[in-house]
Amino acid sequence: MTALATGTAVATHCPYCALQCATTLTVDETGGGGAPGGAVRVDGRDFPTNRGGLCQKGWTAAAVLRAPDRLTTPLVRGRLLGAGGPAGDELVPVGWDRALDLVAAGIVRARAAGGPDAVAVFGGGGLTNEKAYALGKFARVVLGTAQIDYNGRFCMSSAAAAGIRAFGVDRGLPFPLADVGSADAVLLVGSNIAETMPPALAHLAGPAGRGGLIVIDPRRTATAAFAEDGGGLHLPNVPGTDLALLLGLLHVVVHEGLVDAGYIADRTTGYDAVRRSVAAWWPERVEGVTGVPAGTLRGAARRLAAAAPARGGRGAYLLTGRGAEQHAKGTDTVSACIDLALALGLPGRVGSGYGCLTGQGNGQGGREHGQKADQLPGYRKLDDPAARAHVAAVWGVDPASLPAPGRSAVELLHALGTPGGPTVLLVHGSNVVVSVPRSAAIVDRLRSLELLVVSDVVPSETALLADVVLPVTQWAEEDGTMTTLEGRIVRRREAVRPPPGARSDLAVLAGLADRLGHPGVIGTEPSAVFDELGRASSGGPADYAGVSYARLDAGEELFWPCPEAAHPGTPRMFLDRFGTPDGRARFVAVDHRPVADDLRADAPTYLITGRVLQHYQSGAQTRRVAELVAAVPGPYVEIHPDLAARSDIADGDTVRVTSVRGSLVAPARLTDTVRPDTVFVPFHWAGPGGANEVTNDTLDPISRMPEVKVCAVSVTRVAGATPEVLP
Amino acid sequence: MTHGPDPGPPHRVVVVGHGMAGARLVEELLGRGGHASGRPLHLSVVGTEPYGGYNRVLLSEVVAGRADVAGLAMSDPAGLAAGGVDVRLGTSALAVDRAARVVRLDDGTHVPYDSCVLATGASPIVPPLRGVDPAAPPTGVHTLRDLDDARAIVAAAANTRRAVVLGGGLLGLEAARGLASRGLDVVVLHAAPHVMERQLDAAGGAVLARRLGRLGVRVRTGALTVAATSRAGRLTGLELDDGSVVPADLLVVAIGARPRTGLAERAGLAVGRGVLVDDTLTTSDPDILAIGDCAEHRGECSGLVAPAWEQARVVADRLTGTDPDAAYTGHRPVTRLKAADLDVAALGTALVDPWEAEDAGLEVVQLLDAARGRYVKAVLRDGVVVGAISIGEPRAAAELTLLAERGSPAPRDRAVLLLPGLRAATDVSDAPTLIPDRATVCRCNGVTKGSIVAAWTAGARTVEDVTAATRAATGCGTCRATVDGILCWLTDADPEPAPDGAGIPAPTPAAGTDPAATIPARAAAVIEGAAR
Repeated sequence: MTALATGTAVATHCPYCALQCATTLTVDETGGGGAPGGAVRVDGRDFPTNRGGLCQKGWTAAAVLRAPDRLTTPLVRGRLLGAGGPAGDELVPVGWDRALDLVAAGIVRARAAGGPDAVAVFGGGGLTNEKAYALGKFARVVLGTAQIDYNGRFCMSSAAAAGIRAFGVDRGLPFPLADVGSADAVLLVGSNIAETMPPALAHLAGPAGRGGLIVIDPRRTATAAFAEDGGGLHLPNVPGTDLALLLGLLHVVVHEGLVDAGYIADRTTGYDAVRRSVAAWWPERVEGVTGVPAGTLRGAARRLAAAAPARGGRGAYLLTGRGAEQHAKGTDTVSACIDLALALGLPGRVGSGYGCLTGQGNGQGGREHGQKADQLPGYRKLDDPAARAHVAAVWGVDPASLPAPGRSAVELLHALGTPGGPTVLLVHGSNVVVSVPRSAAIVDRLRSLELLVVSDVVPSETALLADVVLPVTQWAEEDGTMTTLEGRIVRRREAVRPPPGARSDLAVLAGLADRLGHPGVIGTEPSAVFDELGRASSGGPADYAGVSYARLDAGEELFWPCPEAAHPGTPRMFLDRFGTPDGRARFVAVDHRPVADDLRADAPTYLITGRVLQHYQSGAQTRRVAELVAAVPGPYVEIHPDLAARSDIADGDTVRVTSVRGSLVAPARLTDTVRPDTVFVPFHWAGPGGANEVTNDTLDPISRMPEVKVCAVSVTRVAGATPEVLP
Repeated sequence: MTHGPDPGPPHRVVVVGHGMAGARLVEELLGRGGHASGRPLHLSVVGTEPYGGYNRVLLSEVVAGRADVAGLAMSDPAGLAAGGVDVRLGTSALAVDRAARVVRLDDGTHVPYDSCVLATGASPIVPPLRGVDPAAPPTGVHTLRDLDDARAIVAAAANTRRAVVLGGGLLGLEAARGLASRGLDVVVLHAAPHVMERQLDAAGGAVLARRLGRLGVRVRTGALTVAATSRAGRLTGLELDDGSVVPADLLVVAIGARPRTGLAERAGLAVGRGVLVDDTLTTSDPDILAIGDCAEHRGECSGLVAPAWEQARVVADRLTGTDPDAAYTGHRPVTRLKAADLDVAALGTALVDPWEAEDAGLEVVQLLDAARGRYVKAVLRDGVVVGAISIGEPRAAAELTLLAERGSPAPRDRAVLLLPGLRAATDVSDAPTLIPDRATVCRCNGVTKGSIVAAWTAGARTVEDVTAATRAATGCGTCRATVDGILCWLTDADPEPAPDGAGIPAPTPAAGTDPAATIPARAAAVIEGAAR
């Protein structure tokens, strides 16, 4: 890597999660780090979200820039170059022109045989706004394919769907994160924020210190322990029962007269149906489903209500995470949480609210700009004629030429290489082999493609299956924007020059567009792409038209919607009206239902999955940072001592966790922080310990989110095996 | 609208009864798309009460002031009618004319059917008491079965001081607790030797009676009530068979309910205690089904809501063709008392003597804590919980219920069944010198106590020094006080350490940190205290 200027401090943001902690990168040409071209130092930078703090991932992020196996040249299978024999299966280096020519030719061939939908595109929630926008435009205009979706389906799609049906628009947190600190109570549903977004925990210190932090989680996570240490509550429910628990909380609020009747009358619709539906969820019934004692449930409901402004409290926030959302009933679970928030009169009030803790680095922006199957830039709907007309005009195409909504992520991946399914797939910013449930089946689908093209920074598990691998730039090597979990648009800035041979995803798409007869359609200058994105989003729910690099570089704090250059942006949404046609928030009546793959005699234990502090998503980046690998070298199975004793498993034993879909093998870690009916496995690894070999891909009917959070398994000791430490 | 081939005439379903079973069935039928095996479904609803379906389970909560009457509603009659359902509330069915396949109503109309579902519920049993004419009881005598009963009791409770509840079963005790919470003196008169004798053993009954006593409810067991006394048409007390009189201005009769089978009997259907049904919930007439409290399935009239709702689901699956093979094979009864500060759960085969269990192939574990009013008992067969009683131990109640429902294997250490809240002792000590070096102090950056000690040994003396050396407290910052506490302790213990920190535990690297061994904030407080 090459420094832009030695010793220059560049203000940018962490490459990982949606908190997008502000960092300063300082390049030291004179040595350190042992890397050619000098070392990059990462420091925390004072910013409203991270207040100068960084977690271990952030502090060590520069190591990703020095990944020893960094991709620096396009790679192509030998057989595509005419090589025979064993060499035909190997990835061999080629020049960019050769690689792009091959990809373009493959696309042309596939389209000739199977039409535009023979080519599919898969994006990611870690891509910059510019890349996400360009990817959607490339698919719709250059390829003309309906087959585009992205890994945000496995992220917050359930919360997005529920947010839209309640508020008419989805912004993860419709308020700045710092607002949470002043509240008297915060309910976290399925979020282990202390490990997944560590510096954000500082914002919860105030409510936690007042005994107001309530954590719903089957595990006593670091976050749950933090709540209990402050006098708050941990509700350790049975996996897959968040929905019943939330209905029970709402039942208590309704029956103990704790609702904000004035707010319900003035700002909402649909309360009566919800009130009728929660009549069926009295606390003792909820106890039988969730395992949370009725008295504890009542106590939690009263504490939340006491914090609500209508009852004289300083405010309350209800926040959901992946634990609540990654289920086949994830959308309804979030709706139940929003219903509870509405009954307490929280959303659209300063100091209170509902929010989703978005996970991926650009999980918010990534879902707004058109890389989703049913969506156009500005969070517009692809099936809305007005939206099509607006975006087509910006793109200079006929609205009728834009494809219809296509398959969602899991369905798209399972369609690959099947009759009528795509035969070519382009992947940007996603390691689907690790992050998708029932991953063995996904690998089969990827292998059945005519052409798999993966643009990545390092040889991820998915890249290693590709026919063509294109080396692209990463966070500190490029300019762009990211939108944080709060809907705040931040600038990613180039601090070091990318290694020779790596190109931006924008350049990849532009190069392909040129070869496919659409020169100039995809811009390569991030600021210009951003300006175009602003025009395309203008008038849409996520309106970026008034945001520019100039304003961001001048230090303005801008939250969307920001429709004009003179507009100050919108830190707090819904203060006057919600984004629905009548301006009122909508209660949505929902009902609980069991886990899709529920316990039975031969699978008597729940598997739940999640994250550890030291790793990020599929681990493609963090598994290449020595300090993080040293801290958490591989997957493990958390088992309650009692379950372990029954299964004759000792701490450190190798165990096999098996579902109807597949199995994983990893060392046992005995802990009483997990329920005796449940085991926990972090999912950041591929290979024998890959959690997503085992997880369930049953989809939520609304968000198309797979149920990766819970399934039924058996757990057995692997006799005589030595625990493997995976890379 | 369906296009294409004519779907044929609608399949007409009439649901007689709009209580918890009937209303649920309507919801389940509509939730399956309103079709019956390809034919349109035409649904009629008949209910005696003028209200939409409401949650009868919560009536005792209304008495206790813990449920809002407006919040009991579970169905929306206007919405149903707008959706095309023929809704006839405030109307009673007089007869099911099986020959004509119509249900005749008391308003002179009739409803034709292809399938008729009886969900007529049960009536409260009122024992023969001298001085009580069932047709004109003295003022102050109530049953607790419907919304009007609950309202009347709440209204009466406002002007009375002394209440008697006749019957120490589930409903009676909930009502008694509720009335006591309204400030009334409450006496429960119960004929059996202990309360809830169908669910609890003698020890459980005794513990529960004592808990009730502390909450202002006196329990008289073995009390056979023979008469009510009244003055000027107002209740004044209850007379027992030993001649003693318990003064009362309010009586709630809660000695059970009897399935309402009159309609079925008059129609000539097979009736035992309830309307006899098979596993498909079908009566002796294949076109007539019965669910809920009015039905008798395999000799059981459960009187509980969970079986009724399960039956509604099965009937809906069958009538709509969603699952033509759906069957109801019975339900493991779980009794959960809904009353503040009582926490009583009972399920399955719980009335087993521990000393006779082994012969029956059973195992019994129990905890009796009479002073604190705790009693937990678990009955196991082949290592699986098949019965349980839990009083005053909420977590045990919840976990035992789950274990029994699932048939999951019980913990090897049976004590865990009785006190699931007990946490295994951790190796994290509160004493600062005993916090293990491998314990994580700063989770955000994986900094152990050992690393902090090492930094101190290398010369770090302030939190800022330690932060610069180890990154501790540079994430969320919540461990800052702990870091400070460790520094204070180190300085206190050895103000001028020898080079290399002789006598100080050797540092361990951040690698291999143990997330389970994180020092809780309360330990940090102890460290700070120790340093002063």
